[in-house]
Amino acid sequence: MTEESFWGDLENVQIEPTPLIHLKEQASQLGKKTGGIIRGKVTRKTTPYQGLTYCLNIVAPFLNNYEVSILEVRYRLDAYPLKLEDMAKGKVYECSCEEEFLKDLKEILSSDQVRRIIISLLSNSADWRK
Amino acid sequence: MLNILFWNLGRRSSTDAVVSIAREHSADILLLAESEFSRESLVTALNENQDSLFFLDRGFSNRVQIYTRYMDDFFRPLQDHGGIAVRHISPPVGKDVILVAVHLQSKLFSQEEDQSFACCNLNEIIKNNEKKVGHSRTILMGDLNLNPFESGVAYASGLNAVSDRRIARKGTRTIDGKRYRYFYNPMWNFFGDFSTRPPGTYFYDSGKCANYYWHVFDQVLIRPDLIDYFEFDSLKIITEVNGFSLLTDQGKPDRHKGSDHLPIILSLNL
Repeated sequence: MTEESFWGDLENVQIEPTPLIHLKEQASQLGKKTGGIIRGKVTRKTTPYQGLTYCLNIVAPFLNNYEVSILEVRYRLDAYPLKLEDMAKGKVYECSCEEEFLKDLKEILSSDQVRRIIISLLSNSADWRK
Repeated sequence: MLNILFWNLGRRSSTDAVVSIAREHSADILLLAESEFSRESLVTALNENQDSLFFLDRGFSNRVQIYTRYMDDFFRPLQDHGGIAVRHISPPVGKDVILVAVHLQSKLFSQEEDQSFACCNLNEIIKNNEKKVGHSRTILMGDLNLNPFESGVAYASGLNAVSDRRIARKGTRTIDGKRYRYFYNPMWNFFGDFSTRPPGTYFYDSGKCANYYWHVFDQVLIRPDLIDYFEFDSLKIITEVNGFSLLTDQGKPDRHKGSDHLPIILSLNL
């Protein structure tokens, strides 16, 4: 019997961040940037498609934990290409690689529609905190 | 009495028709799908020369517009997810309820399995919000783009909505050890031509082998805990506004006078 590993070099494998990790990071950034007044939440969704579907929601703890879905990401285990849906506009992006995904994700999160939601939630939360 | 009116406007209809229907039926909550009105202009029109005012909903529902006579403290957004808007209504007097307003994807843009899964997700969203609020006095109203007999509405893991309130009153059914909470779906009563009312809320001649022609896509589903507060006689498909029929001479929804969908209304005695 040989003790040689036929698996190749697994010690130095570079772990790629999945789309889920990027969503969780942005969810966490929202909480940090607003002092926890509103926060991001990632939820997994049931779908008929093979693969994974996640939603990025904004939660407003001071508004009865009101929750609004911002976007949805659908991907298989090999991550790319993936589909990214802007839920405010109903627009679906097809992202062929991580770079494209991050570019489109940034476009959605910094869009006027999402900014309007954030400002409204922060303003209404401020009313309730007084 | 809480009167809730839903109408899919089909991107048509006039402000006058919407204002008239809301006033004629004393709607306390007005839910509109496929509305191209600006929310501000419609609420202004609704409130013109009125003592009892409508307010804009504070949530971010983008597929259902919501207008309510309840002020902020009594009408709170719980969740918005695409075509699903969940609200907590706490009237000054009477029981509080959860309102789920929906406009699900059209059959033109999704397959049956997509629609079934959309109902599974809708069910999850409803359960989460019932847990958040602490009760299940829930009413769902809107355009499901599915008939009451289709899998998304009838399946246990979907909306689990049944036509017989005696069954719904049992609360739940158990399959493989998992419990599924019922909805009562009174819209089953609107099929067929035995009465003078139209046999559905939407007419579509698909040309397919199985052609239903009439559909009841616009529905009201009621949790068992809310059945005792539901005024059965109040549930109606509306066919007239201001003395004008919303139907063609052949008795189908007239998209030129109103919309390709007919409005529905019901009352809860909370």
